[in-house]
Amino acid sequence: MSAPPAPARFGDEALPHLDLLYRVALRLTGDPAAAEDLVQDTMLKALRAWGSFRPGSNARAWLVTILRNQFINTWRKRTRRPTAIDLEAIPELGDEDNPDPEGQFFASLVDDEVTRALDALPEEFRDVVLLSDLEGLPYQEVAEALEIPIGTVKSRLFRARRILQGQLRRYAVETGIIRPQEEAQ
Amino acid sequence: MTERETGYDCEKAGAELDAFVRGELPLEAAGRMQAHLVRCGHCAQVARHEQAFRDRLRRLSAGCCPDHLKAQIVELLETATGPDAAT
Repeated sequence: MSAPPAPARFGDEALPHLDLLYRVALRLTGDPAAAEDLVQDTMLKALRAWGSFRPGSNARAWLVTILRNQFINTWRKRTRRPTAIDLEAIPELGDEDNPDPEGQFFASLVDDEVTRALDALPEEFRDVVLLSDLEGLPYQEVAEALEIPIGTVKSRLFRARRILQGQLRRYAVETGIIRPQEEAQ
Repeated sequence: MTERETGYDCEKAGAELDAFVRGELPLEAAGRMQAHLVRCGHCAQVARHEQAFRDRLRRLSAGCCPDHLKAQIVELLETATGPDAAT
């Protein structure tokens, strides 16, 4: 059995991840003040649980797990989020009618619209996109942070990305950022 | 070896494309994918689409933990465990 981590190591392991924790907290709560409180609560909780951290394992994923659990158990009740869309009710767009198959329009979308589409995803799908696509965590770390199998991370990512891409492409057509196929020719 | 010999086709490339765009494919598999993308215009287009989407999402991740919050947390750790814990 490995020895418990030394208390003095906590700062070394945890403080480098404050930026990421804050960004994730901000995305979850949608409010800067709430995000600050959530990060503080997370660090206190992590410090108290530091004895259970396995030295050499992934501190970043461990901290994100604590933050997310803290959010679910304490904060979610206090913050209001938009109602999640019903994934089953949204038809996926086929590629045959796509006037911008290389996705150049993505770069033209404003943050608000991308954020709105992301926030409308059911939580379990949004969280994999948040950690994987926005924050760049590898599959394995996302799996550890969300405490789900790596295969589930991949399947949720695939589905979430298809839905998001469809939503954003629809928005881009509606607002004239891209023109439908028949007009584009 | 050619793709015909290895059996590497668009279906197999499609299954690995997400990992490729994320830079998570092992070196050998990434090389195989790159060779496929040179030959296959359709998969190359899909790869560019996925990369453009990922690039856009990553732009949402800007922002840092505010300095005052960092200072509060360092102070909090010092109070809880002594000055060494927060260094």
